[in-house]
Amino acid sequence: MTKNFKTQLTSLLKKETKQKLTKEFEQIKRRMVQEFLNHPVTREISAGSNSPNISGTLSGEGNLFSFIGFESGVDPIAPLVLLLEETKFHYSSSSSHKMSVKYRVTLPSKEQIYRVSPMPWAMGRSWVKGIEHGISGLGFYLRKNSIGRSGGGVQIKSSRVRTGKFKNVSYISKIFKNFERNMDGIKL
Amino acid sequence: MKPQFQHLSITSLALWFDWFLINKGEAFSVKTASLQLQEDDRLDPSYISYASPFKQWVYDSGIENVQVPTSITDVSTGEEITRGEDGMIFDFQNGRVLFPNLPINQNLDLEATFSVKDFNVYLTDQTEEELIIENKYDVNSRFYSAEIPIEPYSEVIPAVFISLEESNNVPYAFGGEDETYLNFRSVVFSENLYQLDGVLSIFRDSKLTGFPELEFHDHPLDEFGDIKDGISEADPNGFEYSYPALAQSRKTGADFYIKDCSVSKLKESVSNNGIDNLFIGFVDFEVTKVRYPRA
Repeated sequence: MTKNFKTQLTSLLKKETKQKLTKEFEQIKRRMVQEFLNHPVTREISAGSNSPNISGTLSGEGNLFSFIGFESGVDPIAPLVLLLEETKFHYSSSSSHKMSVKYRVTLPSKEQIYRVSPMPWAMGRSWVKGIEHGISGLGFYLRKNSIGRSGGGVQIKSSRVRTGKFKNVSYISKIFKNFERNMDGIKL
Repeated sequence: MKPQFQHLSITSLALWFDWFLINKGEAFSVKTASLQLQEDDRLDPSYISYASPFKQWVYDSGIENVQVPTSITDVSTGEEITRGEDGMIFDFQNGRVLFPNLPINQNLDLEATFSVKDFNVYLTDQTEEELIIENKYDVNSRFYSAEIPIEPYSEVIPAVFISLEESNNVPYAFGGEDETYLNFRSVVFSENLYQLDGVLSIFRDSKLTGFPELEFHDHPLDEFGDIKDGISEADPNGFEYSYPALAQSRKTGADFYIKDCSVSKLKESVSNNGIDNLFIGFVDFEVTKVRYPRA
């Protein structure tokens, strides 16, 4: 009897816990996607070839969309959002005698992120990785509307137009770290 | 300043890269060519140079079937001139030999047999856009017979340009042990797609392998581009360099580790607007080493 009661109680608790964890996870996931969408790099790229350099990666010159060389009209952010949305929560109940629960979260790997964010001019390279580790090209970037692949910049073949350096910033790594910290911080 | 970890890491990667490409891809060809007197303002005036049409001869005897020259032929007499004889030394980087600047050495008729790399390897601090867009290279074709030597010191293609892009230390273990991340980037310039695919394939497969940390003085060439005397521990009095032997002697169990290596090609549409008739690719290495940086 006691055994059954305990099991019932545990079972009830676990059900409630699962619901609470799932709810918390969904909130944290939503926060992660929002953090990604609100990140200055994302906002700048989403805004296209006429955006100012709000991320500060180009010392205020030009913008990332044109600097990276995206074709006019493409949306480099959409595949990343889709991938982040695929973050999954797996609840696995432990033995009914124990008052503990186990859960697993499947976050996209960095490799997956890199795969869906190819450089437009070198498909094996990732612009997301480049944001964190450096992208070449600023020296040849000339802000000029409606010229070039992106509509907002042009590469100069033979002479250096403007010197400068891309300043890399923390991007997806920081967002993932924040997500993990938030998941660790869930209190039941 | 004495050599620092960064210096050692660049030397270690460059020598490994050179050997790995030539060895795994058999990326060399054996040539016999006449050597022509060549003016060189930068050369020590006590020397004159006789150059071949190919730059960067292979100097690593640790690679099978490679011919590392130790002598050249005086065509007029048919005699061999070995290193040191008449003061002759090799300049492997510029594909030439140097003689003392004496009247007797002014009109020599020379010929040499050597192995030339399919890809020259250069360390650079230039950015990719400088390398790809700004520079104009001489093509030192490995396919067409050339007779006129190329200017000394100029960078020629086919070639790979390697640079250390960035590095950082990440805590690894208690006691001050860090994992140092080094991001190397290389730009590959080739004459055709076959060559480019070959290089990219070779290095893509280098992921999860390693190479040892070499000493700064392990670089095998001296200021003239000849092999250093006594560079081989097995033969302290010789002029023989073998990367496999050197690497074996420097193995410590804490080698550099190639954590990731990604390769990609410059898109054809972009490439066509950049440099004429060249095929360009990228090899990006993420190399790590566990060490005590504050010790």
